[in-house]
Amino acid sequence: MDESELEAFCRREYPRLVGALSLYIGDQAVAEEIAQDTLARICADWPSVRTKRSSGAWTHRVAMNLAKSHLRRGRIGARVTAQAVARQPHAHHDPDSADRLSVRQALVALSERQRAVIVCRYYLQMSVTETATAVRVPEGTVKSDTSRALAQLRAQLDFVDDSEGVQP
Amino acid sequence: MIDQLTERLSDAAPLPSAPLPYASIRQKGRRRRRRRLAAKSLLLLAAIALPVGLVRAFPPTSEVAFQPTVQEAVGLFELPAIGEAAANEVGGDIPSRARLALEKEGVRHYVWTDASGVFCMAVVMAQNSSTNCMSLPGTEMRYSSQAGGWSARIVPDGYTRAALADGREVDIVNNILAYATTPDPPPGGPETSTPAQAEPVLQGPAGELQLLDDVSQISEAMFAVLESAVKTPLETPRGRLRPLTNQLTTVPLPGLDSQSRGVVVDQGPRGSFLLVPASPSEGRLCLVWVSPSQDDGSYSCQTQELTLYWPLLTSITWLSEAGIGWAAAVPDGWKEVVLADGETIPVQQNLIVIDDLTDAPSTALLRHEDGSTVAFAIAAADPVTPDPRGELTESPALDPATYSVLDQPVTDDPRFDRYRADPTHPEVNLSVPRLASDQEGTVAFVTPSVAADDGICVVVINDGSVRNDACFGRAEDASEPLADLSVSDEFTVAVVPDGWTRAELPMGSVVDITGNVLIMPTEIIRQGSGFVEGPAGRLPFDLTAVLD
Repeated sequence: MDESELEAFCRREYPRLVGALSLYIGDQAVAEEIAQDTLARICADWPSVRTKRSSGAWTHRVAMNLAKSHLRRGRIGARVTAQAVARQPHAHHDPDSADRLSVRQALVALSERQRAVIVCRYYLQMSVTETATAVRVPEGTVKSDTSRALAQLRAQLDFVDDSEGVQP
Repeated sequence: MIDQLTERLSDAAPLPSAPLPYASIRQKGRRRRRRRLAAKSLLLLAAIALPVGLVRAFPPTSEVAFQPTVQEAVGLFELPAIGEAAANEVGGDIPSRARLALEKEGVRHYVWTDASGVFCMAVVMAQNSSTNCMSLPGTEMRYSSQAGGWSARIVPDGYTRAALADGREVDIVNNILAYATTPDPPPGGPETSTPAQAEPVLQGPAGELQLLDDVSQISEAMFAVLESAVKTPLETPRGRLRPLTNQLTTVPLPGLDSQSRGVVVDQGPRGSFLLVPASPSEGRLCLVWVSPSQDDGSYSCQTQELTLYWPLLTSITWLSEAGIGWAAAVPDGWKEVVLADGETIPVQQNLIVIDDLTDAPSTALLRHEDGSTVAFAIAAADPVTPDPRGELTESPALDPATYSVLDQPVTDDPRFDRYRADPTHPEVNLSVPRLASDQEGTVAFVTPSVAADDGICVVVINDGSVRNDACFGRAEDASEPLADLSVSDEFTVAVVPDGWTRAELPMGSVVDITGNVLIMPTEIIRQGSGFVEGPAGRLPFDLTAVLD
């Protein structure tokens, strides 16, 4: 086994995993825990994973599965979501934190599946097909969820009108 | 808006609070792989101890670079298991672990391995089905009905087409060669009722292989070590060993006893290996491993007629401190194994030993003195998260988790009424309790969760009081029975999938798992480690860290 290849892969994917999972779950500590668990699984299966067409996509799919399991099992779901919503901007001091929090709060207000779709599509920049695979829903559902979620986000977040069409 | 959203999401996504603790992740990964491999040892054995497992044979002159992948070597068993629902729908004796290998002309072919690692195939037609188990690929399974005859065989990897004696050419799909034995007459041609006299010739990357009608034509494998060494009495732990297909109990070796004599082909810190002719009249040979401490051992036996397709005559695995050991007996002439990562392991005294499969490549090449090579799988594929739906998915190596307690009738046990009157967990479905277990004054009820997911809840009542109630998500597969726990001062409870029947707790305590519920006294499991076991395997556990 090429240990350096595996280590490089883990170090490269870790920040994106943490970012995506934080946006999806709403709790960075839990996100880091799940990201590390994901990578431990990847390490365990590396001979198989490295032969896949997209090891990265596979890894994010595993991460989403684990995150959904955590949410489903109710260990963190409602409690963490409530905590995320309850956080106030004034607790942070850097000038951009208000916008970050408003983005996170807008995400939390989406349904779980819509949130997963948005994170995959626009944070991880996956295609519709990749998103459907990662979230385990049909492509049509990805498109409809994207459309509804974008409408909701547009209502909650200020966007500069760049006249760009939305193509879920 | 999309560009802005992407940018704002990137901005809102936090960076990790600390660098990746790679060393600990790697160690965790190794532990996980070891645990899963241990849990899968039975399945693993089906893949590696099969008398003829899914061999990819290369022409003797082939010197092409050896770059096998997991997918290449495991062949048919890469397919997903059909699962419980489909097995019930098909009916008959088809187990949920069966694979639907081929559906052709309205005939479905299901394949699985039985408890001895022997191939079984069910041929299912519209109204009828026929099941047969065979120890040898290429053995024909004929099936006749009013609609005509049908022939189906499992053949080794490496062959893509078959030329039948009647001139037809048939594609081989998922290791299955299947065809009507009464072919349709050619348009305008004369009617024929002559069954195809087909002993097909297989063709493919592996070359050509003439299937044989009479397996007795296959020459017996020779083991020089059996002739050259002095045979010694078989000394086994208390005369009993674990057959590989049953890790849970020790049983007498069939056809062997302490009077049997075998050849010690290797002896050292990793234990002793013996080759024992078990039943000379049947040409059976057993490979036996006995642990260094003489208190454990396992064995596997096969007939010596199988080398046409599979030179690894018989193989065994065992668990030790070093990991998951693997050994195989090979006939004379095979000289070395080349692992996919380039490591070469010589065959010594007709024996190949790999001390630890945990991080070993999944495929290897067995090289003969004459230059011929055969590739084989030494470990089953180990998918990360089994999911039969997605295109990225590889087949799950384990059957999906099932919970048969939910198939039991709803109970009207009055002991649940008190909980029903004053429930303490909002997800417990109060209207459909099942009685999971009732032992020594402790009763457990299981219900589906009323939450939107498909969770399972358990309520434990002891002496009329609720001692624990909790809801769990279902396991993704049966490999991690203790993935989720509910801990109370008195009882630690887990809902475990089918296939786990018993737990050995610290301090010599043993509890049965009934109704998919494992109830463990919390004080006892604080004391150390234990094992959970059943037909699904045997797994060590240590919950002390969780409880602390």
